[in-house]
Amino acid sequence: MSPLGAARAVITSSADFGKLELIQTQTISGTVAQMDFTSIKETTYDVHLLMLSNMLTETDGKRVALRFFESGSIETASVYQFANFVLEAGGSQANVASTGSNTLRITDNTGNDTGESSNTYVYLYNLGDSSKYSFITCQSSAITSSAVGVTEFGSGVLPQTSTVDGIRVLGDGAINLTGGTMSLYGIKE
Amino acid sequence: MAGSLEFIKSANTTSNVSSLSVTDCFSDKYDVYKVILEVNELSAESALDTRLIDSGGSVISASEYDTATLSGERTTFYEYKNVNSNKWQYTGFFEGSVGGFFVAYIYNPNNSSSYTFITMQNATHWINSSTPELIMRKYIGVHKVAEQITGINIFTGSATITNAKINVYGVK
Repeated sequence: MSPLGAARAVITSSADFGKLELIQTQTISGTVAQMDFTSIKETTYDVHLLMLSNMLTETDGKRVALRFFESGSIETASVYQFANFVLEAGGSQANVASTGSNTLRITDNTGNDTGESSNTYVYLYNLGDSSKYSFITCQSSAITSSAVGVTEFGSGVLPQTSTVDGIRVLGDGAINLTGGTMSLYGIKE
Repeated sequence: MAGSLEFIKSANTTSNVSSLSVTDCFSDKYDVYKVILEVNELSAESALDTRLIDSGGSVISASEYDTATLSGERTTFYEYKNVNSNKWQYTGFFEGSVGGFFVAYIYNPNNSSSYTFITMQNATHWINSSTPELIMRKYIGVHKVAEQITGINIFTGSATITNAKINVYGVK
């Protein structure tokens, strides 16, 4: 064992309890192309948590994805990177990665029959810091169009020094969303 | 208040240090802790490793740590496994000043009759032949000694940590 060095740096604690603070919840009603979070309090929180539950796509076997708004403008170019791992209950697995995607992938392709959906949590970091890239980590639990349970987890980044002030939840490949509840939280210190 | 996340303690640095610790952050109040590491800048490309702090306030550097990791980069996915290491190795790999982070859960640190476990996922970044490149890690680890753990320590090898912060929360 070694003693602690000089690098404890600045340690702070607070009598105020930190907590998960709900910023906004949105529920999809009907058929929509996307749902936007445009007031995300990016200057208040270093880390956000986005919970997506019971997400449904209009087309069977498709998936939900994310894009970011940079200073109010949606980034649609093929500039996002992700590195995810997919594991199906049936035994198959796959690495999925891109350095030039036009969305951030956060779940595998999902069925849309009765009872089927995808459910995902996403941590987002540094959205409001214009000198830093914007990173995510995610994990989903879903069911494929072949009715097999599947998880996908991984990380992503928008490798641009920009202020991200909005999040778009959309169907990957320009397909519509037909259901789901999305809650965005800030993690308070 | 049941079902909440409660901030306990934070440590940060804005100058070059070789390690950063949060001391006396684990107690009998919680069984599970959430640890968020935000790395804004390192002095150079470097791995960032993790150790635990014992009840005497010492960083545990004995060969008591196991690790199993899946990492992914642009075209390469690989497993990293390590038994009886003196650290939880490669809890991150960083370069430059554009950031990166991990979200970890620490289980049973205060319980002196239990091992201490970690699950973690991160998104970090390095420069691969002048090209910014994402690194993903899904990570589990165990510290294989039943003893009371009171804090957490992250450290680099050759580089220094220029700007970073660790937040520790209790999961109630």
